[in-house]
Amino acid sequence: MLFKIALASLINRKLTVFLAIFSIAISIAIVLSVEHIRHQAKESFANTISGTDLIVGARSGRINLLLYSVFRIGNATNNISWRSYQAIKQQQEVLWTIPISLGDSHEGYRVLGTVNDYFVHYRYRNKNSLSFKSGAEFKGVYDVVLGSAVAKKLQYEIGQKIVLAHGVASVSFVNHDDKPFTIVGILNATGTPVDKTVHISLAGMEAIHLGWRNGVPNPGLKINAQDALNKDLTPKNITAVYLGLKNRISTFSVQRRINDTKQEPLMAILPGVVLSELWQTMNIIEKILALIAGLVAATSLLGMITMMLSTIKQRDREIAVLRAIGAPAKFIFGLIQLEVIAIVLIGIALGIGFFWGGMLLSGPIISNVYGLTLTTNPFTLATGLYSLIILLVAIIFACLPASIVYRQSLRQGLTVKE
Amino acid sequence: MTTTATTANLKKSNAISMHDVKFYWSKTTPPTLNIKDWHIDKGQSVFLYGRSGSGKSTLLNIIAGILEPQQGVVNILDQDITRLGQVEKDRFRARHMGVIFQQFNLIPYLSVVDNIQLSQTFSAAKRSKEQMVHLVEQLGLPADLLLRKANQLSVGQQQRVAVARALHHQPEIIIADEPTSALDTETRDEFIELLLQQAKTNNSAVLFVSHDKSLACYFDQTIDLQKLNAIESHHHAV
Repeated sequence: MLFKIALASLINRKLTVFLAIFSIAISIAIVLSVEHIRHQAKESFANTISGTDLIVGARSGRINLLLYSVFRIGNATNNISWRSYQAIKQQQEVLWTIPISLGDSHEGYRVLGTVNDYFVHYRYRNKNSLSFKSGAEFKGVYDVVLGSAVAKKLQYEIGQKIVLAHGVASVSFVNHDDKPFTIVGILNATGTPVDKTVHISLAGMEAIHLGWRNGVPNPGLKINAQDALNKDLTPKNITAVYLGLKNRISTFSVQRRINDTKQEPLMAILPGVVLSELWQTMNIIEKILALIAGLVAATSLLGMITMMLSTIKQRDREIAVLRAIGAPAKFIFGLIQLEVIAIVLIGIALGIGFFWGGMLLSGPIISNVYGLTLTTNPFTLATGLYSLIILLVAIIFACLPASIVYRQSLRQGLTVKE
Repeated sequence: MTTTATTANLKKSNAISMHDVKFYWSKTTPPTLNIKDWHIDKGQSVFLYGRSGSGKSTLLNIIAGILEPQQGVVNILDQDITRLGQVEKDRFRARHMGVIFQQFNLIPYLSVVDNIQLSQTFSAAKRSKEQMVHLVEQLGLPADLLLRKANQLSVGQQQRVAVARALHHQPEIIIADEPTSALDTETRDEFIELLLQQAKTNNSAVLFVSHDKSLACYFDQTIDLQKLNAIESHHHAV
């Protein structure tokens, strides 16, 4: 009978109850989405680079090295000489190396000078390697391979010629317009900074800087694109090196040896370790997101309680009737609680539905644009946990109207004040 | 009024009896209710005349076991309900009493059937659907009314459904608090006749409270609450 009354009472107040359910559903969907996004962001962040055992750069900050070498954020304070790179490459524990050289840009996208090994050995998220959406790796000096976001945003296609700009400002005053590059490959989306990178060969990088002194072209030493091909295009410096080791056990000994290099101040970092350090520094964002989601949920629950409180006055008679029939005050308390629980449970179910629908709708778009395959299963432990927390908080909140009604039902007795 | 000597003998057949009952809303004010000695026999119909402010809601709440007097004995069916706990009082009320208010007796969003069955739920009485239909017919209500929602009924119909609910679980005592004040004269007389007739069939005592003295003629006994209640004068008892 309690269930029947509670249900009939809710149906009787369809509109307000529907609004309460809807607001709870929205807040559940927000809480779950925020949690999902936070989790996925953390995952995708940690998976920006994988399979690389060490990253070597000039001695500076660990996070700084990670930022410029992996995320293309900021600049290297110094370079690594080609000779040091060769020494590292020749260490017996080293399986492969990817030298990278940064410093130029195209339409605001960073240009990365590297070797074809980059397309072979670079790994992201669960050891996925890069793949070509169209075209292939570099063959000539003036070949360029674009990350998916660059190609999409600038609407570039294979065979098009582009000019690189010196420096990394979005508006550059010095362009390498004497040596245009030809697009030979476009990569698939990865959801990593690779998508926003313009890749050229180290030789190409060297060629466009021939005759430059101190970061500006020397007018007397201008060499055209064709002549440059006959010059020695071995770079003198590179920015950083990704290292893959034969055996991961040797990671620390190789790291120590590189850090102790006497000839040049070098530094090697374990990308996974520094990535998690970096994520720690962004902890506050995570917390703020969680806080906002929590506040949204609390607000919608408070809204529902306000609704319950405002109906108490109108339910005076109903309660007097129930009491007269012999309903214990506990029954009245239970009735209010049950109504709240019903509203919240329906809200949770609907919210999970919204969240699921949202994921199913946005999943293909996200995967297409960012190359991130998000899990679309809404029935995770986290979902259950958050739903349970919200239900418990609702029950605690509902004690307020329920106990007001309880006390009122004891005091008011059989008579209703008009 | 009975004397103390006969109380013991009559007690067995009493539906309600009260002795030295005093009720104060607060310690500093004089008692709202002060009843020396009063009883209603089983199966008797009693008209209790009381103007507003005469303490009748307090009296009804005490009989129903919702308010507790600071002093005195309140025997309902030979059970001193002041000795019962709150939950026991609720159960006792559910089992042995039927209450009819002035208006709004029904849960508006429940059907008539559910409203009538409510009393059964809390009293744990075993009554069949046929008995309910029979009762509803006896009260002159059409059978198709049962499935309608309470708020779709006229006031007169609602009051009759209230009678059905009050009687369905066959309580020994019916408490009716101004149940006719929302009815017009014609439906009022019909209502009282039906109520008393059904109560008699069921052998229930009726305590009918009203400020309208013209209704007194329908009842076995008439009591003026102002005389019963010894707060202003002390001449009524013995």
